Amino acid sequence: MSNIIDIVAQVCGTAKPSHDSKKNETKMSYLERTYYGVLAVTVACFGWYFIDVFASTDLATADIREFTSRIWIMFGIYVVLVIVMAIATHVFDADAEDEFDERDSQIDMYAERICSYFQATALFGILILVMYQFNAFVVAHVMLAAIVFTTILGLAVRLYLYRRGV
Amino acid sequence: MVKPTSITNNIRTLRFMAGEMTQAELAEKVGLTRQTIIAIEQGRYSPSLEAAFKIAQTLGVGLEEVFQYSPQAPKQ
Repeated sequence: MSNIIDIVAQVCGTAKPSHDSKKNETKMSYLERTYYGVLAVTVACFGWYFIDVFASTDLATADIREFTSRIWIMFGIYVVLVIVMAIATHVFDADAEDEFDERDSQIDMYAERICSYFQATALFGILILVMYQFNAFVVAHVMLAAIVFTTILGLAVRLYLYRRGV
Repeated sequence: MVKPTSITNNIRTLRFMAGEMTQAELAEKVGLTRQTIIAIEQGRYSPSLEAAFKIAQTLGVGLEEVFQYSPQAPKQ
């Protein structure tokens, strides 16, 4: 439980400086806190969308055109939330280091490589859906789910590698 | 949870011997972030050869005094 509180305090930039050198050394970087924030925003925003859509829609007869405006609004909200979250993370920690070095590049590379396997699999799955003439609503939402899933996976892998090491 | 590594280092000791240099100072001098210096000290990241040479040069010692390679080394 205290670990979760520590993570939340660090993400918010409100963690108190500790005299314990080990604790100070594990302070999150700006990038790491940003990834936690984007992960939370992604899960909340798209989680809400998928629950809302699938709870109130009959997949067999759904028409994608009815969801166009909702999808654009959701993307708009997502982009605004990510920008606000990134600015807030920076504002709440004036000492934040936002530089990007070789370790960040390496972590990025690993995460992107793992995501690329899932993207390729998802593309193949979508191709099958199109070949079997599933309706546009299903195809569009499988695409959206694939994008969301690879985004979440990429962020989770980055956060894991920052803690575990590369 | 920390990935085991075969490369160990004495950066922490050498920093203190180099006028109690802080992690932030070392990071700035070698062009890395403080988090990366922390990760290297804790054995969670093995730096590139160029970064390793820069660290040794900044600490005023040879590369082998900073980094040691031992395949059976316990994780830090």
